[in-house]
Amino acid sequence: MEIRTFDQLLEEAKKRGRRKLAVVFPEEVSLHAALLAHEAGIAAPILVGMPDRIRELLSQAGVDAGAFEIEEAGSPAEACALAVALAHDDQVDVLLKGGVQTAQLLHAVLDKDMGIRASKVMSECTIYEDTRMRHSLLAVVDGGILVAPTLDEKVEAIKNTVGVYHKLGYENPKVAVLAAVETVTEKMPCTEDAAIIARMYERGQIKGCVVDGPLALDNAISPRAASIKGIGGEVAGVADILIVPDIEAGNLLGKSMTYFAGFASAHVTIGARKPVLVPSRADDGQTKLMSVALGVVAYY
Amino acid sequence: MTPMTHLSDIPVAVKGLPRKRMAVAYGEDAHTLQAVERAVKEGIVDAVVVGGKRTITEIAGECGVDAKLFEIMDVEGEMPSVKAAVKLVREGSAHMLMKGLAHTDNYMRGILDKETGLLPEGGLLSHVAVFEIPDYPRLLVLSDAAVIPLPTLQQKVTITKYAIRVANSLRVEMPKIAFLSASESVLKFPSSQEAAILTGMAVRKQFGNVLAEGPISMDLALFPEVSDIKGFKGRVRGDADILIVPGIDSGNVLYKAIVWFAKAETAALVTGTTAPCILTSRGDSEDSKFYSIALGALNA
Repeated sequence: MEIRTFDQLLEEAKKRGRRKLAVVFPEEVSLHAALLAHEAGIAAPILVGMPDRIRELLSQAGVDAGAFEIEEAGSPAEACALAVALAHDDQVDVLLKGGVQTAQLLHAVLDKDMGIRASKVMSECTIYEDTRMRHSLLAVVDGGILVAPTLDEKVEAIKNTVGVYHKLGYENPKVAVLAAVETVTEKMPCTEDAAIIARMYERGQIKGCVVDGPLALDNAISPRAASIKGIGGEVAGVADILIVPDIEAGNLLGKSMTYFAGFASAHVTIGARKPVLVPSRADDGQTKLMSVALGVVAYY
Repeated sequence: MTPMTHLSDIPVAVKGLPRKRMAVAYGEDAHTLQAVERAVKEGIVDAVVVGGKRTITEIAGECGVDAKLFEIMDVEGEMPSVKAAVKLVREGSAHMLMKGLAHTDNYMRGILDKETGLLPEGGLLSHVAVFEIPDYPRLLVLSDAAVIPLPTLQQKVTITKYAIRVANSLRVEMPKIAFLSASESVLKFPSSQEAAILTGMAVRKQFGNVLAEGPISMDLALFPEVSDIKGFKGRVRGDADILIVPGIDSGNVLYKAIVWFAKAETAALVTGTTAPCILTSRGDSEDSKFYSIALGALNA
């Protein structure tokens, strides 16, 4: 069954039992996410950092200081290394970034010897719950990690995201490679990339999904806009996954959905053997919880 | 209207059109005069042969051509003859141009002259060949195998449009275009990626009423049985009407292989000019010259 709402996503996460969630050098934001996930019954937090500081944070949050497992690490760098080592040995299932730099954590994740890299490229998968128009989930890739993705990086990001959608129950997710227009023009290189990616799909070089592009946002998600423009195919108007040209487009599109449309969202970094969660301070509780749920369902 | 399938269909179609007038640049050789004689006798064109009147009359006498079949415009010298012939076309008293004894370089220089030539603003001089290949059930249009050495993507767009126009003149209403490369997989070299982009443009109807496939290898484009063996499911499967080649090197080799190995008959035109220009060489057969003139008249 295709998961189409965040309620369903949470239910699915619950079916997978409490997964071991390593919080890498906890601070308020990450601890809040871990506590919500624990409360919802989908995570067993393991707090990796300085024990005194962690106990202090727990008591501030009104939680029994002995309630969770603590792994001692004296610095953010140590915490990253230890958490990734635990993930490497399958002692934890999910990594949640705390008071460390994102780059620092990803560096440990990608370490050649000790890391847990699984794909050629790490990409951010942000999923929005469209409760107004289509009543389904809609992914935007990549609004967080890939700044100016090359053609290869876009293809890898598609493969990463399609893997997530398979876990969400979508047998053949529909992928739209976005641009400002649906026509191909040298003046906008992203339209050329999109045309190339669409051919790669036609040639069986990208599998497990349906891909079309270039598509403009309107004709990717609105059947009416697609039909007015006379764009056929299996993706136009009904896309599940939107591949944006660069981080600016992804960021603006994502924040528009959050702030103008009021869609709830969840986001997870894909490309390692375990889901990596990078919560933002601006994330609300729902986003934090659903991100853990998404990480769990995407991998387990 | 059924598409033409033989080069001999071209003169038949031309006979139903108002008679066109052809200016012959420096027609001081037997090959040229014989081709002109045949075209006039068969009612394809009227001709004005530009060059030294005495020489032309003499050569006609020697090779048994009736010089009364065409008008002679008495001009001394190669370059002045080319210029005078171009001028006739430019001023509208002739509809098309044919090369006589003039060197190709001089002929082209006359056509390309910014002040007095035949290249419109934004026009791109390129070459279109039409083949009748034994056992291939349709006429095959090939471009550009002769004029543009390393076409850019933008030039390939223009080349494709000219080729489509020629295919349309052969009554192929929805030509199937193959953007050739070495493999049908999208690979990391320019011809492959450009073929993918051009196909994307065709899919988005940027070339009008066509079907296109690319990158595609020549065997998949021309032989249905190869498409069957390889399980290739494309919009073009061994039934291409138009081949767009990656560059002049591959294009010229393919052109000559089709002529010599496949024993094809050809007609060819220089396109992008305000009027069709015929660029036959002494190596071309009598029929080939005749069909080129007919193709020019069809497109004039």
